[in-house]
Amino acid sequence: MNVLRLAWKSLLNRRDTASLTVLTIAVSVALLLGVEKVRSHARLSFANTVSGTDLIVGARSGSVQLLLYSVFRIGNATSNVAWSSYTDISTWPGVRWAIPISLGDSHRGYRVMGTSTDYFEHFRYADKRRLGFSEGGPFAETLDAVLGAEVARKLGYRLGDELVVTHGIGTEGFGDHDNHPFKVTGILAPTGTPVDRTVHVGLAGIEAMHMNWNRVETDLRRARGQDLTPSQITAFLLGLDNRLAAFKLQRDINQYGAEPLLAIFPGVALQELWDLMRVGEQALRVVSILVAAAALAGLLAVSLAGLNERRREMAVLRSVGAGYRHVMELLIMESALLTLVGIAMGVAMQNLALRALQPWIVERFGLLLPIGLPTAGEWPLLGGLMTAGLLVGLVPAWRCYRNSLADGLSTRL
Amino acid sequence: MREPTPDVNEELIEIENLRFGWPGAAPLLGCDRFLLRRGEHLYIRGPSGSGKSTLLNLLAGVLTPDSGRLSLMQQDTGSLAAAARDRLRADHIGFIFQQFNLVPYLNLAENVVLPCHFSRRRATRAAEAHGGVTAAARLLLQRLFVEEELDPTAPVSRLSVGQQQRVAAARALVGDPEIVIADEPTSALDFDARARFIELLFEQVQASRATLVFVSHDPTLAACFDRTVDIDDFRAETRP
Ligand SMILES: Nc1ncnc2c1ncn2[C@@H]1O[C@H](COP(=O)(O)OP(=O)(O)O)[C@@H](O)[C@H]1O
Ligand SMILES: [Mg+2]
Repeated sequence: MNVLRLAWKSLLNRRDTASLTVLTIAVSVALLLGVEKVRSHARLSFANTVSGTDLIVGARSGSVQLLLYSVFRIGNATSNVAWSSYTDISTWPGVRWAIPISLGDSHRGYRVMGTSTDYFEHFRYADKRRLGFSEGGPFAETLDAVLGAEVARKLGYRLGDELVVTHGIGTEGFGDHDNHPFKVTGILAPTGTPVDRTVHVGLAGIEAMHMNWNRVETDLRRARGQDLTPSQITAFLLGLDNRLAAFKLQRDINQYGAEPLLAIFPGVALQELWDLMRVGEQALRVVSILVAAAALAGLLAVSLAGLNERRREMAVLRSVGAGYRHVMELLIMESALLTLVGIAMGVAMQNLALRALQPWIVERFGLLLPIGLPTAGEWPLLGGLMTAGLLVGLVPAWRCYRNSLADGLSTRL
Repeated sequence: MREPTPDVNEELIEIENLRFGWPGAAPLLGCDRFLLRRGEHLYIRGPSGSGKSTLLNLLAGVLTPDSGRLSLMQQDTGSLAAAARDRLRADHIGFIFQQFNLVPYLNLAENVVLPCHFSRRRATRAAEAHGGVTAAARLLLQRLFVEEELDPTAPVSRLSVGQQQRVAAARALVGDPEIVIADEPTSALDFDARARFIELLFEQVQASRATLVFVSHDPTLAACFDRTVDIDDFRAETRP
């Protein structure tokens, strides 16, 4: 029987306190891993929301605000961009594509975005992935709509269904008229980005709706050549031929003569936004590390408290030939075992919890947190915890060494 | 490989001018000359608190003299490193305490074979004589529990004190160490159990031809031993 087996049996003998200790370690590990997972995936999915867009242009405001409303559909633009500015800039040399964005309306809590079919062509997310259709295709008629995956799933829309857009943002707005329903012509594949929660319509559709036309009217008027070109939009995305030209283009747009505009690099604004959230992220991390520290303090308390009762046991071990080294090894091994089992249980607990909560997390936050063994980023965390567990074991080991040095075999209790 | 047949006069423990005191206390033990030879059954008598256990700690190499010399198996314990003394103890000494001898989380047989995990020498001897350490442990348990049926895999928690002491004796004897040291092993036992324990212990010590060092404050036991000394012979204040 080596010291490891001795440690194991001794822990089994004290299984009540041992299992409580393991449990607190497990809970802290589960928490630590959970926080870490949410953190890294939030960051990833955050960075995934937009890719391949070189510049975002809107009315002059803050860059984070522009990013928030144009990409995350959070908040509102304080002012708009003239259509003429958009058409002008989109013809500038070096501009490969331009996608107009018109926001401000909603459908049952989901934002409605007016855009052009170029959106489905050029918009990229995650690792330069383009939008795919799970059903149907881009809008063709003025009052056609393309739904994000979540909108279709949550509201139960199929191709050909009709939906009414509310002017303004909110579930129940004014001007909610049945006479200008949009028809679903396409449903996008899930992206894990705000696109999933967006209703896409043509710019002309937005105009028609604001003029309160119905489908028949719209067709008639269009046939008569009536113009549905908007006078202003909310923002636009630019793709360039050469990314090196982006700086010059940004400067030119920021100094645009006709109206005050702001052009931002999405990557830079994303970083800025993430930095704003870093405080919260760090706070979360600190809390879970404190929980882990509390668990280790519990481990220390339990092993120190047990030490006095075990003086006799240590004397017996010493009498049968165990050296100080064996006795110290035994105690360190016990801490190590408790920590190791705690970590293993924590990983299992975290996975079980995730298995139960995953559908809800995907639904609620659009985060697909992976189930399974810890990832490369999590191992150092667990390794750190294991090391801390071993170090905690050193304390009772040292105390025990001092004790048995002072006691000899004649423990005076 | 068997060790050469030991010389009957072989000195297992030799003391010269030993002095020892616990840190911060007056010198407790002092002994100018003492020899323990192979095969002796030594009884050390002395009242409680007189330093018997302290002496046994020194004999077992757990403590070392403040001055003078104590040789265990012809090796000066004072000049050995702690680990070497631990090995010496593991290889050559079986120890029985007054009580609480057993490791609570090990079963009977596991408790008995425990010394064999710290001493290759004793493990080898047990294996050579009985075919394995566990077989050796079972045999010793059988001999020490002649009247009782005992499950060697049972936990030790339900044993009576008398039974526990017999398991401790089996452990002290496993792998045939040269010296068995017993520190008041009978003082927690009632009269009948005491007599029975002494009888069984002697039987087994004789069978393994071990040297026995037995301390107690009970003078009635002296008759069983071929050599009796008083703790006063080891006390510092009785020295000039
Ligand atoms: N671990 C120890 N540390 C300090 N003093 C001790 C220790 N063990 C025993 N003593 C002291 O040594 C003296 C002898 O104790 P001990 O050897 O246990 O006597 P006995 O075994 O004869 O009852 C006592 O005064 C006791 O207080
Ligand atoms: Mg004593």
